[in-house]
Amino acid sequence: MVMHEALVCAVAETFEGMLFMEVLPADVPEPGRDALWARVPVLEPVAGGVTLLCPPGLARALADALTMGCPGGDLAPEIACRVALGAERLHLDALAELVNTLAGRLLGRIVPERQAFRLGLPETGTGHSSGGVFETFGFLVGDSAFHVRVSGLCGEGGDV
Amino acid sequence: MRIIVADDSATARLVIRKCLEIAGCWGADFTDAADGAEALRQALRVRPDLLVTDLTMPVMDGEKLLAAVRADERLAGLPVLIITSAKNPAKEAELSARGAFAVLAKPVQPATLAAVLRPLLPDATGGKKGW
Repeated sequence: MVMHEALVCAVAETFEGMLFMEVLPADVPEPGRDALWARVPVLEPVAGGVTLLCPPGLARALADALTMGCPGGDLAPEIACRVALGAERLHLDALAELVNTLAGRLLGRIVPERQAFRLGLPETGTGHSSGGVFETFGFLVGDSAFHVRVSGLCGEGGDV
Repeated sequence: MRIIVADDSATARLVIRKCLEIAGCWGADFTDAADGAEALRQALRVRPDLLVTDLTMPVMDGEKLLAAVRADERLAGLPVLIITSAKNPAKEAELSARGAFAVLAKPVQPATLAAVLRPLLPDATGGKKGW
């Protein structure tokens, strides 16, 4: 499966499965300097990475949806979670969990079934660098744009 | 029912806990752990009925945690449920062979969890199943 097709499927599965949100691939402007990002290194079978970049407002909305979106429970753990982490930490933690799941879904599609793959610990931050070799893919969730950057995973023909 | 949820992400622990509650573990006594070493310490302390763990964690990852649990007589029979983003058939077979109770891919859904956990949950008469 080629990278772009696999990535679109992985993003859709992740956002629908975790957030009940529909996501569409889109040609959107580059992320702003205030973007929040979370990156998961890919350690095996090749070295690479998957990065999710979101404007702060969308990151907050995604974190809210992820932590409040499970029906049937009281709110105490969510409140405790917010107090413990602080708002931006919580948003970054939620992005990290999203990109971790997204990377797994992506690798599951492009790595042969008989071969295991291994991901590293997520890294998070704000702002973004344009350095390094990567491909950037744009998406829309509602009216909000976000980006996914993939490095090291596109071999000849777009596969690992 | 006592359940340990091990994941380095507080968000993931929260989501997994909510999913477990919806899947039939409502009222369970949850203990969080941010890495495998903490999960192992907590397991020896609280003697849980279920250990749910991620694979990729700092200090001690989920594979080492599984090996440590399986090697410790005091935790014999403890079901270890692995919920990971790095699941594929090869990894699932490897972890099952090492003694994982089940391996589920993120994002986990309550219905999937409910089906997997059915043998461990209290039955309709209130009797406890599992180990």
